[in-house]
Amino acid sequence: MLGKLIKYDMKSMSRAFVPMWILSPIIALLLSFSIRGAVEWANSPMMGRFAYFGNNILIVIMVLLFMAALIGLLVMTIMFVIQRFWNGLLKEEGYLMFTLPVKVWELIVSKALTATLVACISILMGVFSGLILSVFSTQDIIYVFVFIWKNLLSSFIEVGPIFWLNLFLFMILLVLGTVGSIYHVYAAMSMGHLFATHKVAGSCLSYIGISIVMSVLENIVMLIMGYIFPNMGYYWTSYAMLEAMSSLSIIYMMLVEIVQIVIFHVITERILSKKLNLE
Amino acid sequence: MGGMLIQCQDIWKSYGSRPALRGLNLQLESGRIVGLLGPNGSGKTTLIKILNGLLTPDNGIVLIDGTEPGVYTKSIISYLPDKPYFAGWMKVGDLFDFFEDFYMDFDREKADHMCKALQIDEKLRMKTLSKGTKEKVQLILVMSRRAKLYLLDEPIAGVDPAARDYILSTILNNYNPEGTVLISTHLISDVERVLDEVLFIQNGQVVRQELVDDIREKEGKSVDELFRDVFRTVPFGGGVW
Repeated sequence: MLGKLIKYDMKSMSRAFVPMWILSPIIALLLSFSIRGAVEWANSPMMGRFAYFGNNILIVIMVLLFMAALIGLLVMTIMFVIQRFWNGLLKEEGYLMFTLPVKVWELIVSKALTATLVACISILMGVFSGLILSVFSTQDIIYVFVFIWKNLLSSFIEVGPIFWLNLFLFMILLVLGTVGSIYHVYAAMSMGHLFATHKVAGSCLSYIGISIVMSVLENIVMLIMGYIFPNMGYYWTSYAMLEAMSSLSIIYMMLVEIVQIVIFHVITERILSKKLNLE
Repeated sequence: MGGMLIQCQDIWKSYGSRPALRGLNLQLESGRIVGLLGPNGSGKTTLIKILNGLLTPDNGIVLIDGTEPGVYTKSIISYLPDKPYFAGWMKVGDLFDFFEDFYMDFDREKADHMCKALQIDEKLRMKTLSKGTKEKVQLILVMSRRAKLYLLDEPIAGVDPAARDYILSTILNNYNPEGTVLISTHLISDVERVLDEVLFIQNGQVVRQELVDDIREKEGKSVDELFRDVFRTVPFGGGVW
């Protein structure tokens, strides 16, 4: 049943996001051409001694536009995560979903998996569009990439496979972090659902409340860790040790995320199983 | 209590401080068409939502076919809600696919057939349909299942009298004869002819549960007349002395 739920959630999300994913690199490309044209114009002899000044302003504008686009993508993704859960489970559509012969955890996991996929693809498309924007607006940037790539490559050969392993772990950590944030929102909305009135305000309060509790807990764990392993810096005697320490801390952060995800999932599942009230 | 399809024992439910059900007790057998009758705000929709698991009672025991509301009960209940519950982007055919995927007892052929009879195009998106057509699609979905329990919340409230007849005959001709149909409504005269049994519900309690034939024999009244007697409200400014 989970597979079927995911199929339908994917279908409903792809309608909104696929056009945007296709459009964003195209818009980035078009934007880059216009910026390039403008830069050339700013550098033309006609501009005289203002050329350098004009050029810099344009680059600042380009960076701002890029950031605005990224923020837009981020906001849209967050809105999607909230809307699919709120409207899809806690409003009228919930009548359909909660009368299906499926387990409550399947409904939640299906939503979470689809939302994670949307968030990850959006992030990738955002980075990809940013690359297109920078590469095509000023070609100098290609040389910068080549330079960075060559230098990184030569250092990888020196540092060996642990670096790649850490990079890989870090990517997984990013995905886990995304899942964690999505589940954080889910748990908050489920808790808001318990409020008799002002459910939206209740959800916002729950979100803040969860954040406070989680950061307090994390700090307590950090304090205990610091007590058990004092003077961690003492072990940072070589590059290899530093790498090993990074692996350990990434794994630690991954565990923290996994624990959070499990807690949020259990909260959401319990509330929607035992306290569901679709009025 | 073995053969009972629905058993409710001392069900309490309130919305905030406003009580909707107050210690409701109910037992229903299989194979009947039952009217859930009561004035507005008497707890009809609340009871139906508790039976299908959309609401959790504050107190009490609910058993459907001997099981608490859950995956099994949802697989045997076919529910017609009091408002449309579709995502607007779905086409009529998408909804049929959806029901076919999730409900083992959904009869696709029957649904297609009813769709043709009602001249509804399966390629249309739900959000482009009129209110009445949406209700018809919803009814097709619900009645194309071979369920043990049909919970129909106000199935005829929003449609014209001609469509009412169509809907009632659709219900009559398509329900699973071994199953029970529970129809909530306050339009009693329209549904009276199809009912085997009636439940009168008032202030969150079942105040009367009787077979329609018994009412006619014992009291010599129609269900509509009995309803008016039971729920008679003294008009303002009258009957004080």
